[in-house]
Parts: sequence; C-alpha cells; structure tokens
Amino acid sequence: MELKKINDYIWEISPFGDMKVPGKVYASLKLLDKIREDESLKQVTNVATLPGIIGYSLAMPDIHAGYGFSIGGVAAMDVDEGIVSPGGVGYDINCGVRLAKTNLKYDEIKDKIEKIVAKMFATIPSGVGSHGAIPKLSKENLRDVLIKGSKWAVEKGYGKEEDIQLTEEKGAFEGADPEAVSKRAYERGQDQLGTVGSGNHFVELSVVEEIYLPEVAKEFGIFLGQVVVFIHSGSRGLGYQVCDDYLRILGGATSKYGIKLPDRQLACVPIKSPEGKQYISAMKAAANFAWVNRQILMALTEKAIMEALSISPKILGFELIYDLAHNIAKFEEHQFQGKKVKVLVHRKGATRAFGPGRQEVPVKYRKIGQPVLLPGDMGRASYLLVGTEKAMEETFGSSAHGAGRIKSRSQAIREGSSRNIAFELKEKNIIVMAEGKKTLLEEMPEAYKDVNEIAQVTEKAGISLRVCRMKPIGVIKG
Amino acid sequence: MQSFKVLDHTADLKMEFSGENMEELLNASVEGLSIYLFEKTGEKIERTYKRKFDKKNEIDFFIGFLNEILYLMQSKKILPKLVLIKDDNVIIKGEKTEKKPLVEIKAATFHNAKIEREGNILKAVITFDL
Repeated sequence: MELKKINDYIWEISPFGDMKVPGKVYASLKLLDKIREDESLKQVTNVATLPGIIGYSLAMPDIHAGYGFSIGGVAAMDVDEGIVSPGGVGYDINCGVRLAKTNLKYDEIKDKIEKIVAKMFATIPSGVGSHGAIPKLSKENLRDVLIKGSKWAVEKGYGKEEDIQLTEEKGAFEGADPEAVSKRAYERGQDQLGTVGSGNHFVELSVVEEIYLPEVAKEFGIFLGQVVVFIHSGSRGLGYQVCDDYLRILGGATSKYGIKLPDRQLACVPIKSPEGKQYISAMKAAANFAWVNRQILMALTEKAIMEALSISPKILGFELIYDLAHNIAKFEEHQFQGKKVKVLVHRKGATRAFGPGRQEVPVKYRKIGQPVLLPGDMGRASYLLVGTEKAMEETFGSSAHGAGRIKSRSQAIREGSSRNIAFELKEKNIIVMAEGKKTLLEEMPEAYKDVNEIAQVTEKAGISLRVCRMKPIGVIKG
Repeated sequence: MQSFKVLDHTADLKMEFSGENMEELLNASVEGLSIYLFEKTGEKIERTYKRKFDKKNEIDFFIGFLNEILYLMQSKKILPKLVLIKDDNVIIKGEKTEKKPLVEIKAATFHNAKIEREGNILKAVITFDL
C-alpha cells in the first residue's frame, strides 16, 4: 500500500477500489514502521469504503490493528447519507479515561505509596467479572443508571455536582433508551458498577514530572510533583452485550440497505434507519453506564486514599480534571470544506480533542480547549494534553488515546515467563498490584509503544499540545 | 480428533480450533477457551443448557456458539465439559465453578473469521476481543 508523505507526521492513502475518501495517517517514520507490521492500514482503507464517510478515514498516532475498524481510527459520517457501525465503537462502549488531581505532593507521601495501593486494591473490585462495589441493582435502578448517567452516581453520594460538568457529554447522553438494551445486557451489568475489569483497565497514581505549558497547566490545576489519578474502564459486560446484540441485528440488516462490506465486523446500517436509531439509543444507554462506573470508581479511589493516609477530603482535595470517552460515536457539528456539517463521528480507540471556543468544552476550559488524556503503559509515562483548533480543522476534533500494543499478549507472556514484573517495577518506585501474574506479564511496559513518541507526534502534527508528563507511582490492575 | 492453538495477534486473541466435524469443533473451542480462561477444563456434569443458533452458515453458527459459551463461562461461571449437537439444538453440559477466569474475553468477532475443511479436518480461526 502506497503512502504519500504530506509532511513528517502526516501520510495519505489515495482512494482505490471502493474507497470513497482517502486515508490519512498521523505518524512519524518510526511509528509507521510498526504500523506497517499489522493490518491496521488495510483497516483504514476498509473504513474508507463505508457509505457517507466524509473527509478522510483517519488514523491517530497510536493506531494498531483491531477488528473491522483499527484501534485509533476515526470516521465522520454524514447524518443524512451515512451509516452507524457498532464495530466503529467497539465492544467496550464508552471505554474511557478520567484524570483527577489531588493536593498531595509526591515527596510528602512517597513512603506511603505501598499502603495507598494496597488500600485501593482492597477497596476497588478488579479482575474478570468483578463485582461487589455497590449492591446488585434492581432492573428499575439500572434503568435509571442508563438514563441519568453520572447524575445517578452523584445523587447516590458518589462524587460531586462539579464532576458532572467536567465529564464529556456531562456524563449522560440524551436519548439513551433502556428499552433498547437486552435482558441479558441488564443481567451482565447488574453487579458490575464500580468495577475496573481486566486487561488494560486500571487505576493509577501518577506524579507530575514535567510541565510544557505552564499557563494551561495552571488552568487545569496542575503543579510539579503533584499526585494525580488516572482511571481507565468502560461499560463492562453490559456494553459488550449491547455490541454483540446489535452486531447480530445490524449484520442481518446490512444487505437490506445494499451496503457492501469488506469485513463483516464493519456491519452497519444507515444512521436514520430504524435499526440504526435503535443501536444509537442502546449505545447511549451503555455509554451512560460507563460514565456511572468511572464516577463510582473515582469515589472509591478517594475513599481508599483518605483511609490509607487518614486524611480528610479537604486535605486530599480530590477533584476531577476531565473524563473522556475513547470508544464512542457522537453527533457533532464541524466545519467541512467551508460549510457547517452535522456528522456522526466514530472514535474507536481515539479521544475527542476539541480546541478553544467549542460549546461542548466545559465553561472552565472553554478559552483554552479541552483536556486530552493520553495514558501510557504502567512503567513509563502518561500525558495530559490540550485540544487545538488544528484538530477541529483536520481530525474532526480527535486525537490519540493511548500507547498502543506492539507485542501480542502471548508473546509478552512467553518473553516474560521468568520475570517478576511487579518486582522490576518496584525497583523503579512503581508499586503494582494485580489479580493475576498473567495480567502483569501481558501488560508489561515493553508490550506497548513508547507513549512519549505518541505524545510528541501528536503535538508535532498539531492535533493536541502537551501540557504535562506524568510518571506512574502506583497501579492496580485486573 | 479435536485440538486448539493460540496464534499471535498484537492486540487481541486469535485461536485456531480443529475437529473432524462441527461437534468436535465446538468441543475443541470449549476446551481451548476453558484452558485459556481457567487453565482447566470441566470435569463434571452438573448443569445442562440447550441453545439454538443461527444456521445461516457455519461462521454465524460457530460465532453465535462461542459468544454463548463465553457468557456461560464468564457470567454464569460454568465450566463446560461436553457439547453435543442434537437436531436443531446444541446441548452444553458442564459444572459450576468458583474459580475466577484469569482474563476477560469480551467476544468472538467476525473479523477474518474462517472455517475451512482440510482433508478430513474442519479448521476454524477466530479473533476474540480482549
């Protein structure tokens, strides 16, 4: 496949075959070498064949192969002519990240990290099918969760009203339909609120190591040496079931609308079709569940830190900086070829990165642009960036969402079988606790691309600017 | 003769299953997923489940079955021991387990999914979302 160099960080794939638009890849030469090793570029071209796609089939710097859409893929669909695809959202609907700040300084608590992590591990349920953070919900309660989103959690005492304002979409999609969610999805979600899950999901304590944009950092409430918390989780079994249900329904309807697919996992229907509307309503309900989940996880984390250090909420000063979805499809208005267009933006392993002035950005950040969260692996770094006008012009306001894997899980386990990852990380002053040794091996830092490279490329391409770099100091994983 | 193996896949899980017929293929997948998730297979028959799957084609049927098995294993904590195909139904027999799965598999996907016959052997390659 031929890639045309636009500049050192942007590459274009000219349309061929059934492609309706070109592909555009944000990567350095170094990243591109890795990207070429899997089928992600082929997936970018497959997405470019979907009806109603406008502009480009986009690939963020952390792109790697997924199923159907690549992870790190962005596609904006015209609302009148375009399609919606559950594969463009993923099984873990509204998998996302939130970043919270504290008043704690690393130097003052560095001897207590082990105690904090142990308390977090005991307080926050993690691992496969984990449950028990809050009592099993009745169907009526779960129905409320699916409609109200974060507001439900705050009403129940998990967090503060300000958290809602600092969550993408204010923590609740309007138009979520709990009736569009299957009985089995309800069953799978009933006891999973306030659980991290397994795989690459985590709760992480980090310390701010370097600040690149002091004025913006100040607006976000960030200072050097500060302890912050990343929370990465999603809609758990409820979301997986919604995706599975609708892949079946939409898969059966695709041919009815005369849509030719290069990959069955791209099953899709017109946005305005009855099936499309129903999926979007169910996806919104699952997304609301995920926002409640992360809201509760944040409250559990606050409780764990306070108990470990025997401090009050005031001293801890635990406040949300921002919560962002990175597996989602959203109706948005963008400028395209000089005109305002309404599109459904699919972000599959990509994060929103709106620049200054957009109404969707919380008032508090509207003058500077929204916070963009870029967590890395558990041994190196994570970044806080800020959205830009260029992202609005080029990527429908989207940016990278993480580091992206480079080693398969089985390769990581094979190569690490004689290693003690928790011990190795402890040597670097990073305390890690996980449900299983296997998770630690699968998630070893070398299994991921270097997030520093992803952050630099993102900035050089102009789709987000680095505000600060953080280093992990304590992690719990499933 | 049924068997399974894990193939390399950067982000997710790719597995190959084989058997002489569809029933053996289903049993190979149950064995492979049990070992991947629990490091053991079912030994007792305490529960029996009867399910019908889309029979449009082999891929739909097989992926429908895999997603049901994943649900039974991860949500219902059932460790299957034996799978039988009877008329239009698939009968799944297994035991209740208290063991937690080691990892979470979200779903079996259609991405590059294939079932092919090689001589007397039916082979399936499936990518699972982790």
